This record gives sequence, structure tokens and C-alpha cells, in this order.
Amino acid sequence: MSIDKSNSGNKSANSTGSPRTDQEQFLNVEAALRESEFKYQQLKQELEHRVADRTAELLRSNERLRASEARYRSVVNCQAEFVIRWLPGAIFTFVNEAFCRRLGQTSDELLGTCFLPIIHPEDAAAFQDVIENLGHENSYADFENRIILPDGSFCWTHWTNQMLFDGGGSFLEYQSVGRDITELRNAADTIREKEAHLAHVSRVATMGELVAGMAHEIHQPLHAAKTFAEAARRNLEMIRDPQQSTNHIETAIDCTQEISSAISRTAKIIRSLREFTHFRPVKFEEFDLNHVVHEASKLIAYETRKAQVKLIFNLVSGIPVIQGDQIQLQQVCVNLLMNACEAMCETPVEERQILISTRFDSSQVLLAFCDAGCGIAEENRERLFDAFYSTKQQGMGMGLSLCKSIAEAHGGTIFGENNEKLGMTFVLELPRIRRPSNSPTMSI
Amino acid sequence: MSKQPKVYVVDDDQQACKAVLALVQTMGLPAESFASAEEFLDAYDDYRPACLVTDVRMLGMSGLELQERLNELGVTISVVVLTAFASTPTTVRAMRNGALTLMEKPCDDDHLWEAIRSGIAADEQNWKLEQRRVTIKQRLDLLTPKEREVLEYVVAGNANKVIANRLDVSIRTVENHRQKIFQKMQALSLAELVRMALTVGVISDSRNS
Repeated sequence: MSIDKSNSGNKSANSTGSPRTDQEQFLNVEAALRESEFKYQQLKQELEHRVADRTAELLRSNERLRASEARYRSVVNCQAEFVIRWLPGAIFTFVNEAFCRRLGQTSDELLGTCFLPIIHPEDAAAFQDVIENLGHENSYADFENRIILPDGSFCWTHWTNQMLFDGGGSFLEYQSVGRDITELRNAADTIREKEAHLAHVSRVATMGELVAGMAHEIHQPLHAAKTFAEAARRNLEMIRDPQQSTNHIETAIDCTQEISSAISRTAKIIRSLREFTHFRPVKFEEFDLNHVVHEASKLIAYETRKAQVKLIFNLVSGIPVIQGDQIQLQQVCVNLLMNACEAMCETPVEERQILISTRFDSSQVLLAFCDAGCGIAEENRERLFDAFYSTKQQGMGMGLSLCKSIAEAHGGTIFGENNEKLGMTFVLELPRIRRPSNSPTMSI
Repeated sequence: MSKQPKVYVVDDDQQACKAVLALVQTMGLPAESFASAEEFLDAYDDYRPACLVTDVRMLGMSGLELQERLNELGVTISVVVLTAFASTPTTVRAMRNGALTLMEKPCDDDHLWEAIRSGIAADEQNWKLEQRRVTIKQRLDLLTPKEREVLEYVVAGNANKVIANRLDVSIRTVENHRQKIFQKMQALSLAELVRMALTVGVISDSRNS
């Protein structure tokens, strides 16, 4: 490069030279050459400085970028929350360290694999439902599901699932941020267990009030059975009269059938008593709310009779099954019915009635108890469902508060309002069972 | 000729009603059952002799209230009270209302049978007595006020002479009244006349000598 420059310098010197002495010419050329050499050196130094500066700047910038990347990576990896990204088909494209740690696998092992097999089978359908409902409009969805761990046990996780789109609105992939809520769930289970105990204690207390009535209810069929037995015996004794024997045998047979049915009736009452007072863990099963209403009204049959209260049933047919603990809901019914009976002690006998009705819509099943009692004073309405609050002299203030916690444990609500004219109405709202969507195939 | 006795059963428990009907059937007697006291009061037509078997605790009118209502109406049939939960106040009230007996459900062996049987027997006797009272009262109504006065003196044990003295009439007049009284009352002896007077309560201390 330097030769090239010197050559061009030579050429220009030659071409512009006028006739002078050789010595002069030589000196001139030498001076010009020296000047050029000096300029060249200056430019070269300048260039090298600039290159060095740019390089240093680039290095600094790279360093900053690296630091930033490391910071973000460490934020994602060091936090306790799980962060994953995935493609339709549930294929991992990114997993953070927290998630790898929980599963006991490395990110290399996980990336590219499908995560559906580690979702608990009971939650899988609902998970698909949630993901299918994601879109441009609602790109977030929260979901709780169990994850099967390598040792076969499972943990409960809460996830916020999100659909990611690019600037143009095209779908890129899913991102899910989750955390382990097993302990939270366990704590909730413990609370539920305690609530179940409380409910049981309350049922036993209720039974204490009902026991005299139940004794009456049991004596009724026993009395019938004994009387039929006596009638049967007398009929059998009369068989000795040959002309009448066929009639008496027939009657005696009828009597024994009645005895058997009366005994079954007794057994049924005792069984329902036992079921009502027996402690058992909360059992969620599918059942017909109308049936629960009937069972509850049987338990307090004597109480309603004693209070001279007429029960009017307006139960909708074809009621959708609901999910919950039958005995606890029966308890809610018993509590509400007994309250209604007590509220009507001042009501004229001919007006004492409780209208029990059920209805349903697309999302919930409703059960209403409408009485003709004294209602509730406006200033007490707020505290209706508070624990240890009671307007009754003998009341513990547990009945309605328990009803409320039972309703809430079933994902429902309960409220009570004064009727326009007389008495008040309590309404229990329970959610209908959310069935997984009909399509059995997975679209994610 | 005595009428066939009838048994009425009032109980809001259908099976309990049916059981008592089956038991009564073994006595060869007709029986009717009612699900409430009100239904029975509506249907009852003063049939005698009869026995009522009623439960205490029922929707609407209770068995004890039914007894009280029957007493108000002057119905005197035998009442057997059944209860599944006997308390002292209930028992006292039932007996004071004139119950033949109060029994606790479930009843022992043949106690209910016996109770109904004796209820019917008691009512047959009461009914006969009541009928007799009615007959005697009808005869009494035939007497003139004077004859009625003489009757009171006669059954109080006064001699004709005493009565004549008291009423300031002749012995002959008293004897005539006496003859009319025996005739109208269809009494064959003084003893029978006294029994009749006792039955309907025509005995007055003030007529004693």
C-alpha cells in the first residue's frame, strides 16, 4: 500500500515538473516525499486510534448485553415460579430451572417433549377446555391442575396460561407461569376437615333437639307392627273355626306383610338418623337435590307436625344432578326448615306453611324455602349469617353460619330476604356440574 | 235388641290406623278410620255404642282437643287415647277429659285389644243408661206440676198422710195423684219408681219429712 502511494506521488511529481536542475528537482521531490510520508503516518495513526476506539466500544456494548441477558436469565431461572413456553401439541420450547427442579429433570431432557402425560388424568379434559377457549380476545386463563412427579406422587399447581402473538397478530406460542400450591391445597383441606367436624358437631346438636320427635316417629311404625302382630295372632287363633279359616289365613298373611313394611319403615328412620349424625369425611358425589329435600323433611317430620306447619313442595322435575356432600346439604335443609318452623310460632295456625321449591338455569340449581314467619328485623339482616350471632334465646348462632360455609364449600351461595308480605325466603344457589366439552379429541 | 258397636280410629299415621282396623276386625266389629280429628268430627253422626281410639299428636286438632270438643258437644262415647310420647301433663289432661285409658305406643301385646273391648262394653252400658234416662225423662214430662210435686214427696219416703198435710189437700187427692204417677211412669212398685227417680236425679232433700 505504501509503495502504491509513493508511486502515485512520483508520477504526479514527474508530470508537473518544470525544467530545473537535477539537484533542485531531487530536493523538491525529497521534500515532497517527506511531507507525504508524514501525512501518511498521521492518517494511519488516526485510523488505528479510531479502530481501537470502536473495538473497545463494541466490547463494552457486548459486555453490557451479556450482563443484561444473564440478569434476565437469572431472574427467570432463580425464581420459585415455573416458567414454560410451549407449542400446540403441548411441546416444550422453554423450561426454567424451577420447573426442571420440581420435575427432577434437565431442560435438555424436557425440551421438545410433550407435557400432556404429566397432567393428572382427572384434570386433563378441563385443561384442554381452558386452552381451547384461549384466543385473541382472551389470551389469559388461570387453571389449577395436578402434575404427576417422576416418583408417581403428584403436586397441585396453579398456572396462568397465555397465548403469545407477534406484532402482526400471528400466534407464536403459549407461555405458562405457574407455582406449586400443594401446601395451600393441604391447608385448605385441613380447613375443610375442621369444617366437616364442626358440621358434625352441629348435626349432633340438632339431633339432640330432634330426638324426642324421632322417638315418636320410630314408635309410630313399631306401634303399627305390634298391633298388626296382635291382629295376626288373633286371626290365626280363629282358624280353628273351619268355616272361616280361609279368610283368617288371608288376613293373617296381610298382617305379616304390614308388619314387615312397618319394620322396614322403622329401620329406614334409624338409618337416616345414623347417616345424619355419623361423622364421615366430606364426600363429594353426584346427587339429586330434590331427594335431599325429601330426606331432610322426613327427619323433621315430627317437628313440623308439632309446630303445625304445612310443607308445600314445588320441586321441579328433571333437575340436573349436582355435586356435593348429601349429608351436609341435608343439614342445611334441616337447619333452614327448623328455623322456619320456629319463626312461625306466632303465626296463626292456618297460615303456617313453608313453600319448598327448586328450579335451575344453565349455570346453577336453586333451592328456596319460603316461610310465613316473623322475618328478620332490618338492623339484624347484615349479621344473619355471622357465627355466634343469634336472635333466638337458646340459639348458639351456628346454624346459618354453618349453612353459609357449607354452601360456599359447594361453590354456591346462600342468602335470606324478607318477603313482601309475611315471613322470609332463604335461597341456596349451587353451581351445576361443569361437564368437559363434548369433543373428546385434543386440539392443542 | 242392641245395636252393633262401632270403633272409630283417628291417627294421622296411615299405617297405625290400618293396624288398629285390622285388630278391630278380629272382634268382628265394623271400624272406620280418619286421618285427622277434624275429619272425624265432620263425619261422626252420634252413632252409639261406639269406642274412639285417637292419637294425641296430630296435624291440626290434637287428640286431647278432640276429647274436649266432644265433651262440649255432649258426646259421651268411650275414648282410648294413644300416644307415642306420654308426658304427665298429657296423661292428666286425657284422664280428666274422661278418657277410658291412655296407652303408650307401641302398646303391649293384647292391651290395646282389651282396651277397645272394655271401651265398647262401657259404652254399651252407658248408652243403655242414657237411653233409659231419656225414656224416664219422657215419662216425667207427662206428669202435671202437681203430680211432679207429689212424686218428689213420694220418692223422698213420705207417707200419703204427711204429703196431704204438707200440700194441704185430702188424703184421697194424694192417693189419686199417686195412682196417676205410677201409671204415667209405668212403675210396678215404689222401689222401681225410686230407682227411676234416682236415674234422672229427681230427689230433693227439701221434700224430706
